[in-house]
Amino acid sequence: MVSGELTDSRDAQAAIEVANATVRFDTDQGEVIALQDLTVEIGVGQLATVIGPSGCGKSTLLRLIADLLAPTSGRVAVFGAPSHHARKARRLGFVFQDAALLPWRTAIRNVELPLEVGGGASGGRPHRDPGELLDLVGLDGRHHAYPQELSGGMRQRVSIARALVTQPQVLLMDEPFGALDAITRGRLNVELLNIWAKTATTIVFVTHSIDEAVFLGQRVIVMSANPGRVHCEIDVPIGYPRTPDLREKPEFVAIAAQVRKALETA
Amino acid sequence: MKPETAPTDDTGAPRRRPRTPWKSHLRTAFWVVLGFVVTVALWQSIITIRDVPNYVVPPPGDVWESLHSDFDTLWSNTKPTAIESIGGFLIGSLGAILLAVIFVHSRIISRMFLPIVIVIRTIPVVAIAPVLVLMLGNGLAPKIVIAALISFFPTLVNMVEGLQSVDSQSVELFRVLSASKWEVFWKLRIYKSLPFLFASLKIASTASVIGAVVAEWIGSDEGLGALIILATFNFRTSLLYATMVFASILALALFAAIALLERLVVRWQPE
Repeated sequence: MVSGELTDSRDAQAAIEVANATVRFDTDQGEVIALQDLTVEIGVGQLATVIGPSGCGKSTLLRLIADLLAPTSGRVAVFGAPSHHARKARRLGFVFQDAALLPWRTAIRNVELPLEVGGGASGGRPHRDPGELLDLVGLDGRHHAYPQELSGGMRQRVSIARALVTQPQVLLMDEPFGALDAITRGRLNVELLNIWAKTATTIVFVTHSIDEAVFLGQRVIVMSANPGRVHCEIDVPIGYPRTPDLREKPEFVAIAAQVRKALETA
Repeated sequence: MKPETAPTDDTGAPRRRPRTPWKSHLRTAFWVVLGFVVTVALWQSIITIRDVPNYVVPPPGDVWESLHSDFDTLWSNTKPTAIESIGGFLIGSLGAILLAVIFVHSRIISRMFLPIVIVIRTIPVVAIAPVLVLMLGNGLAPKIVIAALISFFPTLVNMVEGLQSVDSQSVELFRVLSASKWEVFWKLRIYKSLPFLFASLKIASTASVIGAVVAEWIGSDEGLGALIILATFNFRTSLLYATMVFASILALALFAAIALLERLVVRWQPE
């Protein structure tokens, strides 16, 4: 199986490759360049966070990887293949800013949605048990609650479980905790790291919190706006598991300061 | 920064729809009954003070009397009107739902026929009714068609809006999941449209009774509309008022049936 080996060796290289990608939108105010000549590479199993001022194209970058948008020029590859392959093969999970749960479905039925559409769980596609996943994200006992009966944090947990149910190799998260209070956010950050450790998924996490970006990421990708591009990448050489008190440690503070400076010059 | 609009308590108690206690229902009922009593008292006192003749405005007692003595007449005339309005409501609403689905799925058909639909909508029912009586005769058919027409438009407009009311995140979610158009329709659009649909069905349910009654004015010897004409020309004003009460009860019953159905179907709280 030469082709199989080839794919495997590519897997070892990079989960996500964005090469010289440019995204332009035609709007009433003329042409808007959301991303310009952006190149980024994220390795298999990595947790990279993306930070930048509003309008820098963080969300556009995620949508590019998720095949929700096509680049005007450039190349986007997920596991060496065009991103729509990854989408159709259910290799991508997406967590939206405000959970995007279907209000007429209970928590468990929301998690089951990916198994019902787009070919679902048919053909022996790998998937996880929705009930177990809800337990994993800490919603045991609330499986049959409707979204409006859940708090914002709980809703976002359900949406993470939904994204994980197809066993994606890549998890794309678009400011998932942006609307939550600091305490809930901190707790979910720790839990996300646990989930990452258990699932070995490649995660791209978009945020506008410096604290969150440094706490979660192995690498912080700092973007700048007008036009959106990668300003710099900052490694976070702090091992896992990371605990909340890490935030007071000097190495954390130093890296956070470095990210802040990068953002100021971005 | 995004405003912190989401509820912040992560472990907090479940937030269920608050149950209205029966005491509060009782209090509401009390004020409704009081309002009714005050209205009837005002009605009676104006007639007494201004010495209004009974054939112009009957006193409440006479209407009550008529509701009893003419019950058989009223009831037998309610039946055809009920059949016409319910039949028309069902046909009109179903037609509107189907056409809305077609419009949402085909922009070309929507562009071709939506203007015609809007033009037909602007013609007053009273103007269409004689045409339909000429075409379909004096039986139930023209009445059902008019009730259907009057139910059709609010449902069509609302259903189209409801089916299109999907937010961009849900669309993106279904796209990430590689859902087909068919799946987006059955698992997303239909549900999104339901609150819109029920809002218009409630309007259509009462409107269909109006349609049936108006249609009966044009040419009919049975039904509440016919009874209204008969009572008016015979100066049986009490019977006229009693007929109005029956027409109102019929419309309210249809409305209540739809509201009940909505409670059974739309169990979630629409955003």
